[in-house]
Amino acid sequence: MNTNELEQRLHDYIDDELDVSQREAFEKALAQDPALREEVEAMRTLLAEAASLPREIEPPQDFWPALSQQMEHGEKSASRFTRRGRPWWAQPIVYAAAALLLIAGGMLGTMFRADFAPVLSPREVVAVLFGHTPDTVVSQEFRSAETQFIQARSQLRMAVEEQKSKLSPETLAVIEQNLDIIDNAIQDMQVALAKNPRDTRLSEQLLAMYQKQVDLLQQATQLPDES
Amino acid sequence: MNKVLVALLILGAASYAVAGTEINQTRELAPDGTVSIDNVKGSIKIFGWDKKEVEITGTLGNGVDKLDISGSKSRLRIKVEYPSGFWRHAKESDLVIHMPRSADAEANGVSASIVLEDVDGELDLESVSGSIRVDGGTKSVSAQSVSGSVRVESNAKRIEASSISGRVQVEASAEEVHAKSVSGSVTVEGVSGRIRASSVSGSIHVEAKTIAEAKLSTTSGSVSLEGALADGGEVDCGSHSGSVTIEFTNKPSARFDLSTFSGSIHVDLDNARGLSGGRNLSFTTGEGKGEVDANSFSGSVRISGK
Repeated sequence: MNTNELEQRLHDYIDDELDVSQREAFEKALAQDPALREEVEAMRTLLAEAASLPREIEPPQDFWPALSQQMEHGEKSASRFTRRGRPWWAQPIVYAAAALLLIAGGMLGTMFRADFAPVLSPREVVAVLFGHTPDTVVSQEFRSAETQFIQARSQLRMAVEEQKSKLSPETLAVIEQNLDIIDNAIQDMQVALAKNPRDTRLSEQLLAMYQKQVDLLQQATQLPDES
Repeated sequence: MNKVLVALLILGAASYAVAGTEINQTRELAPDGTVSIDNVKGSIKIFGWDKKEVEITGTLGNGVDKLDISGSKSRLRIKVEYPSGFWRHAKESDLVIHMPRSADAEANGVSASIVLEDVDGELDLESVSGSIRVDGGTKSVSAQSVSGSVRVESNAKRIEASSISGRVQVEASAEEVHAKSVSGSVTVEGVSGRIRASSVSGSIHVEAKTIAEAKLSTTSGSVSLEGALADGGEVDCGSHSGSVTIEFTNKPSARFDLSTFSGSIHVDLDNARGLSGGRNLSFTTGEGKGEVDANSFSGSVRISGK
């Protein structure tokens, strides 16, 4: 079993998704590998912590302005980079409260549907929230960028909501249907990223999908009055 | 009482004289001037000619208040005006405008369709539910509709064409094309420069002569790109659930970075022939001067060339 396979098996083992033979093989590897045992324990601990997380946490009052400044700085810095350089969302910014931000900024909102039925398993939530694996690539930069997108999305959704009466039912239906398509794509990617936290392409694609959603919402707010 | 009745009859007759009437007006316009046209419903047809004047013909629909023509030789404004709050009840007006070929044109409609031919200035055309068709422009073209289709054939250097639910088609030799739709398909043909095309649920099809830069993105539609990759050219194509197909008409010199999460990758290029399988595939052809990124989350990624 190579490292990637082992990692995948580890996730499936935690989720109890291995068949009998796979489980036996994994437990054999577990018995021979102290590091693997530690990782399993660490993941279980985090799962327990995640289960005890409150649904919503308010950030400190002065937090959003500070983040906004940092993100703005990040965006300005980005222009110095070429296309192949670090994208703006990967700029170093202050990460200290990234997890708090992520929760407060609505990350859980995207993981749980409106009726609060979980879309992701607890392990998947933990994976995205905390990047629990030692060398995870679901980095804090990614989380911060995602938070910013989610904030922008929430604000734009409210703006679109306010303008609903100005749009024709047909246009509204097209906007809503396509927002749903993007929502579904985002959920697909979140699940995939939780299972493959080292996949930087996935995290880039997920952010690109957020961008697409924000673009569509922005476009919707700028549509001419059809009433 | 009789006086009131007579007054009402005169007013009614006056408004009826405007309604449904033919129009034929002419105004001077500088060759580098701008014509701005507003017509809520009906049609706007604009044609370029060699005269330094604007001719406005056509018909005003029943219920229209008046045709307002204002402005100067440098900027002329033509607007179909309705009695306050009564535009919905008015009939369609059809405007036919002839204007200096080199001047700029702006046109706005709600349900009015817009057609423009042989005008080479900067063009800015918008309609809500009407379709837009442009054949002309050498500087820049911006054509946007909400639910109507948009078709642009132009030699303009820069073209922007967009619709929310309508189909977007661009046939141009432009240096830069930005075409987008939300649920409609996007087709771009003949371009030799930079292309950006996006949709959410529509497909994207691009046939370029030379690709300096192509960024094509859709969520549930498919992406197909065909053309010769320029030296140092950049391609970035992505779909979430649709397929991504790139067919180079030359031997591309590029670094390739291909990925899919649950789909498949197939490569049929010289020096990289037969590469397939895996979720991520990176390789170089030729001197690797350009860059090609292609990804689909659950669809297939296919690259081919000479």
